[in-house]
Amino acid sequence: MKRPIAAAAAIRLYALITRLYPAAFRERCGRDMLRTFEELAPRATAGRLAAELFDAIRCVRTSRRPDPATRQTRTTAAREHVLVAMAQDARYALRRLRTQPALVGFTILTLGFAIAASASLFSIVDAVLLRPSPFSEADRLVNAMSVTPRGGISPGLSAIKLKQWRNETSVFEAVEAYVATTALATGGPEPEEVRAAEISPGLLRTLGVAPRLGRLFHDDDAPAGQNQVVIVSEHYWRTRLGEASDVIGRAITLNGQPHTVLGVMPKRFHFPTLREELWLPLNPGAGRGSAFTLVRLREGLTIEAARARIAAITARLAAEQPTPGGWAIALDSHAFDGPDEKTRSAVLVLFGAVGLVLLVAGANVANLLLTRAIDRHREFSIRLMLGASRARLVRELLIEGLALGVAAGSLGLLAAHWSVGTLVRLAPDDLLLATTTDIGVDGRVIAFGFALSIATAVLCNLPPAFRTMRAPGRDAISGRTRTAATTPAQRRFRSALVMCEIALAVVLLVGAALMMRSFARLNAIDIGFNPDRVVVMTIGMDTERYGTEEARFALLRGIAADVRQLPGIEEVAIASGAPPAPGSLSFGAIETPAGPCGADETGIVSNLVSPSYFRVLGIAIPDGRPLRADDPPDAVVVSQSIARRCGVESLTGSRLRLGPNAAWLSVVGTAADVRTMGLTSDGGEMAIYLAWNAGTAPFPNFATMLPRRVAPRRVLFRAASPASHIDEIKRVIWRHDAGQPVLSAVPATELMADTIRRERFLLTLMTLFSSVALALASAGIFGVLAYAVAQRANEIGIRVALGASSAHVIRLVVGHGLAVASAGVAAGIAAALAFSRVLAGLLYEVEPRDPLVFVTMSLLVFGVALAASWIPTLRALKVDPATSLRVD
Amino acid sequence: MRRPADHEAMPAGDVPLTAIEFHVLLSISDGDRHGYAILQEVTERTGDQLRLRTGTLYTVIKRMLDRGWIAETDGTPDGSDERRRYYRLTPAGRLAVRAEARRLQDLVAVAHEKHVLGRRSKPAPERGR
Repeated sequence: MKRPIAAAAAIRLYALITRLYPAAFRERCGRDMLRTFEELAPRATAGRLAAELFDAIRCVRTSRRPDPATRQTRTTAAREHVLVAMAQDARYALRRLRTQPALVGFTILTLGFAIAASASLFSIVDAVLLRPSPFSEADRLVNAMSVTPRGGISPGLSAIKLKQWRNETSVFEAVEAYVATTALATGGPEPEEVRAAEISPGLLRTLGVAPRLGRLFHDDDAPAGQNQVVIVSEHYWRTRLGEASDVIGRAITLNGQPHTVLGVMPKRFHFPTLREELWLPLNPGAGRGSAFTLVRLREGLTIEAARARIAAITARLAAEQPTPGGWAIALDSHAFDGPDEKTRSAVLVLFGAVGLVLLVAGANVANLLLTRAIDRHREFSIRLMLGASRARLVRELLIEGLALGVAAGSLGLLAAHWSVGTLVRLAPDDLLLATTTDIGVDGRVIAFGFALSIATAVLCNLPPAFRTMRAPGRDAISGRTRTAATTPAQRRFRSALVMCEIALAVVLLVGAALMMRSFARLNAIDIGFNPDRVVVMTIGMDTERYGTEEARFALLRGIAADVRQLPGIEEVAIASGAPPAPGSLSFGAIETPAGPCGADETGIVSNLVSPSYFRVLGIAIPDGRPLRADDPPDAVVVSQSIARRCGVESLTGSRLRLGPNAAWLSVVGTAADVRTMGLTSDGGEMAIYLAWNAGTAPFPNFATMLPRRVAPRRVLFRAASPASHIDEIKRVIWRHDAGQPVLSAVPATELMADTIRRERFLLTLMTLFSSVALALASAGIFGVLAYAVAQRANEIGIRVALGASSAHVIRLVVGHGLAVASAGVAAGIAAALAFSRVLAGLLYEVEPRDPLVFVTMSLLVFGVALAASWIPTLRALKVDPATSLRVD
Repeated sequence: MRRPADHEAMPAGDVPLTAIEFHVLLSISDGDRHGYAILQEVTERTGDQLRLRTGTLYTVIKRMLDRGWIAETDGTPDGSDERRRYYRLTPAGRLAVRAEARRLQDLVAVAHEKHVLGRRSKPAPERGR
């Protein structure tokens, strides 16, 4: 049975192989050859069959060779298979590339760098912006918000509205609710506060995601055992649960209660923000005021159509069953389509910058290859005259470009593979969390890199061919050498290329300089306190066990007293907030006995602090005094911004309240403004420092934005080397209460620096890119001038012989360089003026058209152009007039 | 340059033949044969010393068809399979195989004179073979 099968397979294979033979062969012998094999195959042994197949393959080559008995090579070669000819071309092209290792090396390095940068950034762009939403049919997912009877919009729907709208299936396929929260997880090595979301049981299903392990919530999970089951993130499962495959059904302790793990979500699943680690079932009816609402529109319903139907239903409901809150809801169209605007524009700006680098590199490579093509002009002309076809020459150039592209692409992708890790380490968190896949050099990035690299190399290698194709021969064998080898048009083209490089470099430099200036501005901001040698430890206090501010204060005071005793600790303070995390932010209208300050409500940061807080952070109190331990609960220190809002420099000694119904507070001191919300965000200056025992009474409309199971409180301390005390202090805290999570312990300087991480990331990369662009552009200037000097050596020699001074010669060369540079700078400035607007959103207190930046960068480019002209000028000066006279 | 047309025989005798060319020409020198028959004949005759494979055979056949040394015969004698082709020696082919045989004969004669084929004591018996 075996034999015929093997034979049949061999025959089929043989038939395929015969197709590889030249057409002439197949016409004449193909069928008969196959027929003979068919006759032979059933009788042959397996070894014979294999030998036959190998032989047939081997003969594909033999059959293509011209008959050794004839001496005609050229015409037979023309009839050869095109692939064979191309292989020959490739060998020829590669051999020729090998003869110019410096040029080829420089080309590959230049392109390789550009490809590495492009590919690394593409890996980020791909992961952050291009990958589709992990949610199925995300365009039908929108957030629904409540519309108040007065027309205002508030996030989330009340339980009644939720229940009502869930029935309106003509508009919605699903209506789901969620609330962000936190949970206190104990039982691990350290107690910790974990970001979580309470979600209606159907929400994950509505999103269209499947768990990695276990299952999603069922409808009966919510009412039956509220908060007794949990779904965890892949990250939590990996880092906290040891990636155990049997984790399903295991119990973890959250908020002091055992919760059964039902499922593990897939990697990089995020909802509703990027940081949730746990999902708990939400029972919308269970005493909750309102919950954020996610809806899935009916299939085929546009958001406009949905809005129209909603309006009609709202009107009907208002007539049928009026309710004081009304039934109106609004749809928010841009809820789930990717990262925030700033992240998006930062990534795009960087990608644009890398595109410019690629263009500069491309121009540089084109310039180099052009030099080479000029030298090869003679060779090509002669070959054309001897009968080589134009197609063949173009093919050679294409193959050269291809080879360069593949080499540069491989180098670049290899470099990208190594550098992506560094990039990811530098990148701001919100950028990385916004990704739905891993960032790395994957198939898509490789395809992108090679496509880019090969396209660039091939395009750069082609233009030289055109001139040769147009005017073959004329001066090829005239004996004239390099002087005649370039036409004025070609020189202009090369200068134009360099001009473009300079222009692009100027654009990049301006961008980098704007960012540098913006970054300097950010670092020069008077933050109002001294973060040096201070560590901020954030402790998450269980709001159930420590229900009142007094209880929390008692514990913290005990901890602070013990920490104060530790050797090396200079000062300790406790507070509810420390920059860049404000204590709490609330909105209110400030009033003094003289009347309200300002017409509108304003955001006010309130911070419960111990008296030493001002000393630890070095916050100046220009007028009045810090809080004292024996101050009454209504004593406060306010920031100067609050005083200014009330039209005075200091409110010390005055009284103030936040809203008409609030209690009056006595101002004992007016403190310097502090950037309580980080470097970049404004609005944290309106600060009120309250004593620990003040409670929340002064704020009538005090609302906790995030219902947290854990209230963050800070322990701040100053020491010579504060970081070395962190473990010691953690032990002190756990001695007081072993269940207290220490959420973080970070030097205050780092906390502030972290608020401008995105800016630093942008600046670092922009600086790198613009430096490379500048270096490439200067290499371009150098190349063009050096070549021009070499070409014009005769002319220069004759000029010198006729009495031109060194100054003349210098003017000739440097003048050329500066002319190119001026044109490039002018074009670059024009482009930068046009493009700098895209940077506006990323700059801090720097005008995108900052004149200083434009002027300094232009000067820098001119300086570099001058420097690049130096060596060519020296060479020009060394031209010996006698030699040039003799040559011509 | 001019390419020799298919019907125009290449002058035979100028070029030494390859071993396979020679065997194939010998194989059809006493009658027309089809491809499989040539393979079998060569294998049997050489006692499996020359392992002729189909691909190689047809490369050689094609080359010699182009040179005009062999020709395909019209029609199929047994009518069994119209794809099956028989090959016949052309006059040019006969010239070529004869020239090669002579060349080899001369070579063998030289070998005998130089006693390559045996010891000095018994040179004669080999010649008669």
